[in-house]
Amino acid sequence: MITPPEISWLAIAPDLALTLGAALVLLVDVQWKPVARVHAWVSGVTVAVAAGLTVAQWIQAAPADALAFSGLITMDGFAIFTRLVLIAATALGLAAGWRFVAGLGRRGAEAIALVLLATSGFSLMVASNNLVMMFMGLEVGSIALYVVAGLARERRESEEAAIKYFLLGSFASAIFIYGVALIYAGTGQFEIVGIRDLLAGFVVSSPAVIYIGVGLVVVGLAFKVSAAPFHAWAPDVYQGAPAGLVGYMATVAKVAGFAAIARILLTGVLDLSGSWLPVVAGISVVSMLLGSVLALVQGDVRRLLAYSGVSHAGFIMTGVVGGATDAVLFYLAIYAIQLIGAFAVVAVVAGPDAAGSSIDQYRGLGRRSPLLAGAFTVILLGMGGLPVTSGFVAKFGVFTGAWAEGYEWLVIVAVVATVVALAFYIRVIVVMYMDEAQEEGTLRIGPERWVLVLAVAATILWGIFPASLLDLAADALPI
Amino acid sequence: MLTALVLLPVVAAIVVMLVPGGRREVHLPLGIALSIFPLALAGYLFWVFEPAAGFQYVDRVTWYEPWGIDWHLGVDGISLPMVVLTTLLVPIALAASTSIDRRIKEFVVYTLFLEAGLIGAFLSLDLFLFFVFFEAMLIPMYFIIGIWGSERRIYAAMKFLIYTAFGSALMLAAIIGLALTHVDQTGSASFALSDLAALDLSVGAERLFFAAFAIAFAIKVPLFPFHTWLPDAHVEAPTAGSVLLAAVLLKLGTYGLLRFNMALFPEASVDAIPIMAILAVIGIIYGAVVAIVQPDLKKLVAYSSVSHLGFIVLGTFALTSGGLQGAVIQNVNHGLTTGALFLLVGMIYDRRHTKKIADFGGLQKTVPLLAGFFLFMTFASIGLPGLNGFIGEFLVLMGSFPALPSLTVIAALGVVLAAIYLLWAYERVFTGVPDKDENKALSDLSAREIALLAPLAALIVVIGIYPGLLLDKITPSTEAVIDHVVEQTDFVVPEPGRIADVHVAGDEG
Amino acid sequence: MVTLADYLPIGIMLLLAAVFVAVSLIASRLVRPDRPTAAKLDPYESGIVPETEPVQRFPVKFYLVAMLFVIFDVEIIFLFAWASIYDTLGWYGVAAIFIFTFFVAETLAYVWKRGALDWNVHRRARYIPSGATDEAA
Repeated sequence: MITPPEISWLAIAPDLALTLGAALVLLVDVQWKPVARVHAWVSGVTVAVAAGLTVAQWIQAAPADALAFSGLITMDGFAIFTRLVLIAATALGLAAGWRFVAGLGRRGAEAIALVLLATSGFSLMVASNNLVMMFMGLEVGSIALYVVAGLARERRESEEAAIKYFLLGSFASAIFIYGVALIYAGTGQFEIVGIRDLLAGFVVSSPAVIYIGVGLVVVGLAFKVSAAPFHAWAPDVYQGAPAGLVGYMATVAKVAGFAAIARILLTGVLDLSGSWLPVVAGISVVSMLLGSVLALVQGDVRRLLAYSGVSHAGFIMTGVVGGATDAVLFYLAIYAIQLIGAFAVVAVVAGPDAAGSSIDQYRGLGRRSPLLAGAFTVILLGMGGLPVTSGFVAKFGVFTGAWAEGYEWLVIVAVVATVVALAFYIRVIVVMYMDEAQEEGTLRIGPERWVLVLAVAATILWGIFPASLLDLAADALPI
Repeated sequence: MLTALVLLPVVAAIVVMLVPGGRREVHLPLGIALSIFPLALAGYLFWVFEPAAGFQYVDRVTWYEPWGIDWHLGVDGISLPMVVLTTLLVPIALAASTSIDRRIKEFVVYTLFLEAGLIGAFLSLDLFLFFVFFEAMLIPMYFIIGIWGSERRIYAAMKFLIYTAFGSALMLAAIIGLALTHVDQTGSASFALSDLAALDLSVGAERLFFAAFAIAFAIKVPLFPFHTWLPDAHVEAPTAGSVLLAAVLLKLGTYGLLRFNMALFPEASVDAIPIMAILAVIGIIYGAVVAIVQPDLKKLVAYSSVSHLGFIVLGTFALTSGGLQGAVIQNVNHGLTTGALFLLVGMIYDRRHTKKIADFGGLQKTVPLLAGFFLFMTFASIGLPGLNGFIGEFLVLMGSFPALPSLTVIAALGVVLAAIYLLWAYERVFTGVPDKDENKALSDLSAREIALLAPLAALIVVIGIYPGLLLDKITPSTEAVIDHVVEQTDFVVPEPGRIADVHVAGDEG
Repeated sequence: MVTLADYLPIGIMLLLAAVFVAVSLIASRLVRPDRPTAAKLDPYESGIVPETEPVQRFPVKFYLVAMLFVIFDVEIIFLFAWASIYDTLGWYGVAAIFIFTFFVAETLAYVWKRGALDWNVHRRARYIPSGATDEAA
């Protein structure tokens, strides 16, 4: 006899809204062939509704109904907070990439739909309590992103990016699902909470299977968040994918990936932390050092941001090592906004034909477009983690967590990596302010303007008054 | 009041920012005028400050409760002179920057932000807050060197940034460690200096933390093996940058050693006395010897800073009343004299567009006023009795002798060397016959330039004649530092190291 | 609790399928006469002798149709499962299957409108983007 699962429409309402919005965009497009402005309204309303529903979840959420659909989905604070970050990233990402999307003509609607679908997939992923459900969300999101990477198919780099992203991403998904299978073999559970209870209650007879399973799951997700040594795809994809949307792509993959890592490791297999902590700490060290050092020698701003993303993955990993979900969430929220902002600048500088992003194009930007350069400077300093920016508070949070957990050496490596990272962010600033411009004429800034305003405001205001966001993150506990 | 002091420059910077970029003639005067307000407030603070041991005018607002971080400002006899010095030098540095011909608005804004950072760092009683200010001021300074500097400015700015950021990164790790130790021992988080100073640290941890803080500050001072960024930064920086760098920024290092290392790690500080003192003395001699052979006037003054700051560190780690008094007062003195020397070098550079000593000669004849001021500052720098340098160096040497006699004797050599390099430089630049045509047609100091130098010269004389003005306010705080160290460790201040010793001797006599 | 015994019908089904295939193949082999001639071994029996190897590429529209077919095939699978227990699931099941069907139908409507079902590629060409000019049109 099959009993119907307990139903909580609210738990999936934002994801549903996003999916319906995607469908609506497509239908409106084929039926009326409207101008781009209409799509902007439809997608904007969709994102707003999804955000509103997520806020409603936050208000409604109580520990009693944290689990829904037979334990497939949770509505805990962790999921809601991450979902809000994802939705904000979607809104900002669409604004940053709007000129690209509008320039696609009739394919523009598909780009919007893909972005909305990717968000709904990742949003399900961060809210899933079941490893198979998590995989579903991961795939829905990832597959949409593979296509987004190839949207600028007039450029060969874009096709290269799409195919590389697809091949390596599918490979990573396969590793992930293999790990899930092994965890199931070892515990008989797909549910993360169930795995936690099982490990807490029993001495597991065959831990090796679980170890290998957890290891494979972590490796699969490390691919998605571009942590070293699983980062090889990131520079090529960041370089090739459409300029406006790269920030979005990188952000949502990283946010969802880290949410999944944190949920599995810190909720599911926390009892085995003795075994996975050294591994995660190792990934963290390699990411921080490799990312920072390789970013130093990049001549292309997109590749530079890709390697900086690798080092950021390392920094966030230190937060996972410290077991501080609030610090990880704060870091993710801050980094998401800054990364999209940075790529919005890249999109503006690259111009309508998205031709390249060599660091030479940034020479003298401070003279050509003072506001744009100023915004980029604030964002870069925020990414570098300089005090008075929110990036510093974020780094401080994850480092404190790792130190408290007894990983002092990791924190020392991390602060050294921070200095190296500062050097390459500063390098871009040097080029913008201290070199003479090679090209003349001011750059036209479109809807990216709003993204930049928000990114700068978030970097400075949350740097000086972080308590509001930190309190939210502290309330956003996983089940 | 202290909050207002930190925020005034920020407000001023924002006001300047709001002035349209086209009104180029407005920015600098406006900046100077607005920077008078912090100076007035700091002057008032100096006036009403009561000589007492604790912190006064404490402002404390919770910033983020769960992490135990506060907006926590307070002033005592050690930080007060530094704050006044900062607020005094910013208007002067700005007023000395009329030769800057591009992006003057940004320059004024960065300078004012720098001022806010400096004041904040000197007043912070919360380690997190201190770190924020300590690190945040790197960026304005970085831009000042990197945009308005001379040829190799980007290299110099980068070197400055990386050195300092590296040091402070280690300090950040130590601050995190300290705060978490506080959580372990008391159950609540706190970054307040007083709370962390009360911690019970193991010997190993204390030494490691001490090292992290000491390296950060040693880079800033800069102490001997960490000094290589300084000459580059100074030579490339514009005049205002050099003035603020030498007069105030470097003082954060010596101030930090005195304020944080002594308070937080008394045991390790006592253990580290030999190391720090030896490094200080090496710095004194090395800086002086290198200064002698410098062909570049600005570099010469830069190396003289390395030498002079060695004295301050030596006095600090002598841990005697005289040593600490001397260290604090020498902080001020060095700010005044070296600031003035950099101003003068800048004025010479504005006229001749060279800093090479060999390009000059006989300037006394053409620019007698400038030469006079230069000679005056030289005397102040080498410690001529009656001027402020004498008071500082005398106190340091007198205070250090009971504790570290042999090192003090070597350090005293530095005074002699200072006389050699500065007077020899003066001789080569100003005396003799002006044999080069370019040097014959130079204009002397303008009224504006005299107005810049006069307050510094006046203060130099005032402190030289009546040091009590400063010492009265400083002494209770420096004595409190020694008391704290003596309380926490089994360190015994060598006789006659305390003021009390001197007084008793006086009574008997 | 699901045990291995519950899978027995599936096992029997698989076995039957295998046996059926094997029996048919073996039986035809045994029963039929085996007299090959040159004409019988030709690829086509229309009498035209092929002069070149057959072309290996064929139009991508076959793929398109195949993919669309698979989507609806999968939909049927879900509908069967739902139909067998729709009573138990109640209105929740109706809502869920409605949402599911809506997305499938929406997909069909979209690809139809975009011309994916037009066999004649030229008619579809008007949907191929030509950048901003398309936008102005």
